[in-house]
Amino acid sequence: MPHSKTDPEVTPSRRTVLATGLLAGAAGALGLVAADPVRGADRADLAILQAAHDLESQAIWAYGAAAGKLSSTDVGRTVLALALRNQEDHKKHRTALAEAIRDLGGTPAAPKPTYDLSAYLKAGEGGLDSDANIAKLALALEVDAVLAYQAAFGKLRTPAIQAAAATILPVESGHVTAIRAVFHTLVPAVEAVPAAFLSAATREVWVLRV
Amino acid sequence: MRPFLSVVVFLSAVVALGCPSAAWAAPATVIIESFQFSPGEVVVRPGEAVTFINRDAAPHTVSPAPGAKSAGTGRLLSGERRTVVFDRQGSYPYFCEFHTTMTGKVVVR
Repeated sequence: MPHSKTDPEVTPSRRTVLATGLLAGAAGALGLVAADPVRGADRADLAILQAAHDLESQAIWAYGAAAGKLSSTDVGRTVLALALRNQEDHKKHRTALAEAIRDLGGTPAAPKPTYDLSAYLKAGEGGLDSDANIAKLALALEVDAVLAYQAAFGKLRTPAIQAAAATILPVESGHVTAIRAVFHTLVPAVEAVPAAFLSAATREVWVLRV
Repeated sequence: MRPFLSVVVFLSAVVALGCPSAAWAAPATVIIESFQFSPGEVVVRPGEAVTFINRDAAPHTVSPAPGAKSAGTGRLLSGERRTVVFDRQGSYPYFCEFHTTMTGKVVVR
């Protein structure tokens, strides 16, 4: 898997990183500096952090790709504003995750030029042919980001990193709700929060199909 | 004939023919959990199958890496499983389309 020495979205300044997230601070406070060999628990955490970092890269790419396809209608502009807002959060998440990876002695994987989301399109969980379908695709991706973070962050072995990583999860849930709230303004029957739980078992309730 | 009976008949026939133990081996299993394929590398014989089980809440895929000529699983939602048969000898690296740092390999020999 290719790695880059530098991540264009990553700010190398430790001060900046600490200002943007707790992840790096958690790793640093534990003395998990890059010069140390990667230990067993750290290696397990690294795999999770790397995947989360990649997930953020995918989200940043997806919002960027979608932004160029949205119309200039009111709906298109509303979705665009939300997309760019969510994208900014994902950039900050990625920055924090990248620094945590480095603090554990790893190297953040380079963002890919494109990501294959055809499985979502094939499943009818969004599309690129209309503003609404683009928003549905974003919704499905955000729902799965929540599920991914729920499962993965709970398995982090370093408690300080686990606690810090948990600060990302509510924001991902917020993205889901924000997208659904946009749909609610268009179709009142679509509730912003359609279920008491967001889990693999209720995923179908949260995702909006084409 | 109902599917269950078909399986029983097939297994009985295999016993009667004294099929080698390899044919009895359950499909190799790869568990997808915590953003990792476990085991990361599995070795099977030509014609044997590998079952991929997603135990994460999030969906994953088992997709052949560029250049690897094997079938993928498509999207596996939480709890779903899919079995892929590997007919030819070789090395078949794969990855998850949604979380591309997740990689694994099936070796057929």
